[in-house]
Amino acid sequence: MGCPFIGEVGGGFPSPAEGWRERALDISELLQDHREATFYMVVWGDSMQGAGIADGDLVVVDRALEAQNESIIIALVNDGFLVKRYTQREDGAVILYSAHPRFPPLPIMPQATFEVWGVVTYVVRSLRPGSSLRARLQRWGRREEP
Amino acid sequence: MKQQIFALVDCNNFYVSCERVFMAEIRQHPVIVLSNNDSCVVARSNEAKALGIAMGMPLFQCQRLVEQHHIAVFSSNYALYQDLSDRVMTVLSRFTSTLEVYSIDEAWLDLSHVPAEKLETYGQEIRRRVLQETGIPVSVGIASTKVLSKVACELVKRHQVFQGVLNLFAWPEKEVDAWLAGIAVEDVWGIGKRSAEKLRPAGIVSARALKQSDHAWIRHYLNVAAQRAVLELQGVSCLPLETRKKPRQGIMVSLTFGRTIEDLRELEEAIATYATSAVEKVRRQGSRAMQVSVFIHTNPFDRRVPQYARNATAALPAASAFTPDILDLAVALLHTIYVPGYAYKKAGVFLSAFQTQEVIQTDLFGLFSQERYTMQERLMRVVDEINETWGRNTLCFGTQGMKRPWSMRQLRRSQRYTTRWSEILTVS
Repeated sequence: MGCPFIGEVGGGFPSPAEGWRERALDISELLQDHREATFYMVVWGDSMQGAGIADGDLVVVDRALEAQNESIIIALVNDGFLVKRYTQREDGAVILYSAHPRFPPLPIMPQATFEVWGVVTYVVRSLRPGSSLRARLQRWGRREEP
Repeated sequence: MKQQIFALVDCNNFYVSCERVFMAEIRQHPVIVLSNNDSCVVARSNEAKALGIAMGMPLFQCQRLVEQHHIAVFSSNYALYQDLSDRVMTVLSRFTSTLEVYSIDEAWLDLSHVPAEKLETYGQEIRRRVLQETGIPVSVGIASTKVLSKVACELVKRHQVFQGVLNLFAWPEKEVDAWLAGIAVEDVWGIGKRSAEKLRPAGIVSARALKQSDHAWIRHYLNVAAQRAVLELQGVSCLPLETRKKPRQGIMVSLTFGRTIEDLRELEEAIATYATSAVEKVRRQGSRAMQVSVFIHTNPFDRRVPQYARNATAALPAASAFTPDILDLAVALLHTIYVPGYAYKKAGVFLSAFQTQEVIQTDLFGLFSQERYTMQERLMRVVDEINETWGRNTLCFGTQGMKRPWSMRQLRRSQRYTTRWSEILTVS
């Protein structure tokens, strides 16, 4: 959000930079490769730890992109949303990988319903001790009307 | 003149499709979406239609079907629907230089720049991109007029063989006529139920019969809108794309309450809330309103309670977009029409007589002060910005009340996945 410019210069000298005012940087421009196809989700659990996605992080999801081998994707598997690494073998079989030793690979069986919902393009993390972005979003929610 | 080509893009069961984007378990399942206050059905999935659920059916009437077939029921999630609609329209705008957004789920595209032999593939590409980027399935009807493109879209929805896209422009006229014979005259865009009634004695019951009638006679017999429909069916384009929004004559905010209200204090809160949101809209279009109207009425469908309905209108001393000005007048108007002892079911605020902000007239007697005006404008800008960033009604006026016990009943609303940070999806 840009900061609202409320004050006005009364009788003093006009700013010499007046004609050069530009729009301030906005991080969302950088995170939205395709604005109308961008969605946000919040991560629960540490199954993608090894890929740099931690519990409580925010991920940016782009539906305009096609999943490629090794893309991190949002997958719909049997009605559930998962964040996983996508691989397709030469014979066409799809295997989803977590990035944590405790979680085994997830081969997609032919009878399973499977869909690539979107491709994860960025991850946003809070570095403040004891405060994940997820916790922040929840606090934010309490301030909003129901 | 170059041949014009119109494509109508219509989102399939739009509200249901929006819910399905974020909820995989209802994709193969019958789904319905309810109106404000959860009273009637306003959207149905194909599965729900097949079960016999009708448009506009009150929820209590389909309760048995709902339970029998485990139909998924949702309250309207307008924040979600509007956001996804905006996304769909943005994707569509990439395919044309001229786009007419006709409603939340329909838009016309000018495809005159596309070579005739490529129209079908172009339509498929539109469908594919919208589905991939937004998750919303659409139907595409292509033809040389708006009315025919509506017909094409209708056929796409009725017949799976078209796979979402129908280009009537590519068909020989005889074949088009054969399909038109299967469409009832009241389903032709521009022909209402009443016109259809009047056409029946003349033997005009299908779209084909209407097409073959004499347009001049139809104009004489019905009206000019019906004449245009005939000409458009014949392939003569009379309805151009309207890309510029007509300036609104007035802004109305009105809602049916979740329950009836008798208490004046509660009515004041409702009126204040509607007035606040109406002024917000006035500010958003960059104008100010001169005239304020307020109405209240009881439930006309409930024969057991005494009926009452009144409205009142008054003008402000000067056009204003300052919430407190409008609020005060709206509440004062309410006091003039309120009678205790009735169970009120609906109320509304209507703002009209707009002036754009550039042409505000100052008056001779000092009622209008530039300084005061600037201050008000600045205050409103801050309020709007805070509410835009932090969610509606973060900052509100005391008259609106805090609890709003009368507000919309929306017991089954899904999360606002795209407009509220606290409601985005969780993935593991």
